[in-house]
Amino acid sequence: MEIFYPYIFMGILLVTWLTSVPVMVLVERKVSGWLQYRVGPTRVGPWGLLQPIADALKFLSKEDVVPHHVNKWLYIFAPALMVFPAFFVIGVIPVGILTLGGKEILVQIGHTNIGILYVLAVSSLVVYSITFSAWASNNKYSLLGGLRSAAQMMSYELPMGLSILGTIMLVGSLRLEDIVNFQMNSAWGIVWQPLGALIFIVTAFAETNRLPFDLAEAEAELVGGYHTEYSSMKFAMFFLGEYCNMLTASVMITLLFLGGWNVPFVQGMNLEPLTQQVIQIAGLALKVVFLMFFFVWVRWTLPRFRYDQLMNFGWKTLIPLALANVVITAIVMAIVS
Amino acid sequence: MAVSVKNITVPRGKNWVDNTYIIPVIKGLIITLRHMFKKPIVLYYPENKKVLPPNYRGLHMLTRDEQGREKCVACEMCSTACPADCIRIVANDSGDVWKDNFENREKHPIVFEIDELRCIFCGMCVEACPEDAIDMTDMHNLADYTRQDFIYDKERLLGVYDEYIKRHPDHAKRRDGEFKAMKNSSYFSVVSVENAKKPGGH
Amino acid sequence: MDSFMQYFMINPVFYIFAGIAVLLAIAMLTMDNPVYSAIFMVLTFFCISVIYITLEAEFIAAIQVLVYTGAIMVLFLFVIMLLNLGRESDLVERSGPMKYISILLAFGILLQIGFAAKVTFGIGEKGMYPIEQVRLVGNTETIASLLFSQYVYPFEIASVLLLLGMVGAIIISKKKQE
Repeated sequence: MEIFYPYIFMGILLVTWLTSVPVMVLVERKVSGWLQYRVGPTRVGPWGLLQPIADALKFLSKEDVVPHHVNKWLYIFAPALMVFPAFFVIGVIPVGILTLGGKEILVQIGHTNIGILYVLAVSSLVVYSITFSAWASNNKYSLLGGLRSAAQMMSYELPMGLSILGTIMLVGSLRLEDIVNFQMNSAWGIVWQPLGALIFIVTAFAETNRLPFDLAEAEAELVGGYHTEYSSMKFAMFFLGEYCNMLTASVMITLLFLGGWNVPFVQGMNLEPLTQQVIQIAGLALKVVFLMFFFVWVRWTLPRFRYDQLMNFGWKTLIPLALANVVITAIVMAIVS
Repeated sequence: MAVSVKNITVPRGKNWVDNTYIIPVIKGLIITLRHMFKKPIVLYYPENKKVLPPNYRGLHMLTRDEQGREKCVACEMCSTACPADCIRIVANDSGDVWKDNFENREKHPIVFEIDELRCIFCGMCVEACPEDAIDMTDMHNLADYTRQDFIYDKERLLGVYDEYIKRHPDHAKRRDGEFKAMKNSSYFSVVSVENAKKPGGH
Repeated sequence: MDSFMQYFMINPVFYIFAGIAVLLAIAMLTMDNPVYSAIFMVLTFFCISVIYITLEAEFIAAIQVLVYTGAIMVLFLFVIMLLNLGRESDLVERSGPMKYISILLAFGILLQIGFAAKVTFGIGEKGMYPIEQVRLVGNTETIASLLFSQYVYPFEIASVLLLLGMVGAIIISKKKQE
């Protein structure tokens, strides 16, 4: 039975990730509405809850246009490439511990030594989808948007990697489950590494191309950027990938800095192990939902960066800060130990 | 010509705490969060419609007098005043028939067309008309299948008047600017937002 | 052929991905369009990272993807896309007699690799860090302890070299002050 667990978890996580996309679309539209004195979608189903299904049906039934001036193979390949890393990354993300058959089992598909590095490596592949779609579209706005976005994502990968280095040094492991265990036994990562958490959250926004870093799309100046020429389900694939990446970013922020599946005080309540673990997984889900809300909340609060500001911010502010964070953490650790 | 250069100094915060932008961002987040709990100002459109003011400039109409005859005398003041040049009038001698019944009117339009796609709804035609023969209604949701359908001829414009006068029998007062006296008139009691039913689960 | 099947059965994943990597590398060389070449190069890097994983060197595999495919190849693509190189046939016409010399050189290198493979093909002796020990300590930890103890000078020299390259690039790209 035990050898089947990874496959069962794979199914569950994949379905979770896929179903989270419509939920996130609904959250995005509803919260956007509320923040602007609107009500968001209300027509489809009770309180507009079925709106994502209507959206999906709309995408499926639209005409799939392939413009004649595009590079056909890459044009079709690029949207698929957006979804591939988004699902590939699930492989090492742990979401909790369950006691099944008297044994504690980590809910994770693949157990590997290099959890965080794997996530960083795979999520860095999103840039290919954007670059290819931009180039294959054979459209100047798309190319500009794609190049901007590629440069942005590469610039912000550096501070992202450096910002988690402090946590890794504290824990002494690249495994995500070790990081969560460390936080369960002491305090949440945001207490240990406030600067690292801040930099990670900022770079997570940049990596997922969300406002205030959505220069890839920049509707006002680039007519949608890299997905200008896309329609129907190909366009929806970009959406799917983007929202999956948002979910992954939220989960990563939770695991690294918000205690993962740690729910305060639940360990002292003397519950059944399984009840406690289910509460913990629900806690993780709640944190992730809050972060999803936070993504939308920030979207309607901060204006978009100008491109030079973005680059200056990334290279001249975030990287030195992240480096300083690493050095300070190292010095403090050396003094304490 | 010399290029004028404007030097812009980037506004900085009062102290270094402001310059990190962390606290200002949190302030901004709190402001947007507060807006989330305010009452939405949304109208559920097809079910309830906004009450338009009496001087709203919508679709045109050709008015009729008390005996139901068109008031237009084909003076072409409106088409002259029109900045979009969307009114076409072909005048005709009224002849004896009209002279008898109609206070010695020399001309009347046999063709009166307004291209509502060209029209910019500025209301100049209404201002120019010496006979109050052309006026504007509160109808604004025009939709049709072809461009030809948007060219309203005389019969259609008179039809607009017939439809309009049913909803607003006190229309004549509007021309006199008696807005205050019209508080209880049809203009302010069409479909009120509060009374209308909201759709969906609300 | 028997011996090959023997090796294949020991580690089929390696041979499958090595074969794919070779095919992808050939595809990379024969493509007309430089952008396609770059794509095949990215895929080749992927296969190589899979081979690293079969060697239980997950850290190197992740770094391979992170650095080569995630960053360096994107920059390659940037240059190719922005320079608008066009078809490779234009490049060949420009190269002239160098073509024959390069074919000769490539042949020489192929012979050399073949010779080396002939001599060392097969499972060699176990080194200082066999797989059992790496499993015990952890792949990342082994690399880290080696890099910062035994190989600290080469490591630092490499980092200084990279820093020099970076400084040089900045100086070249910086506009001249009037």
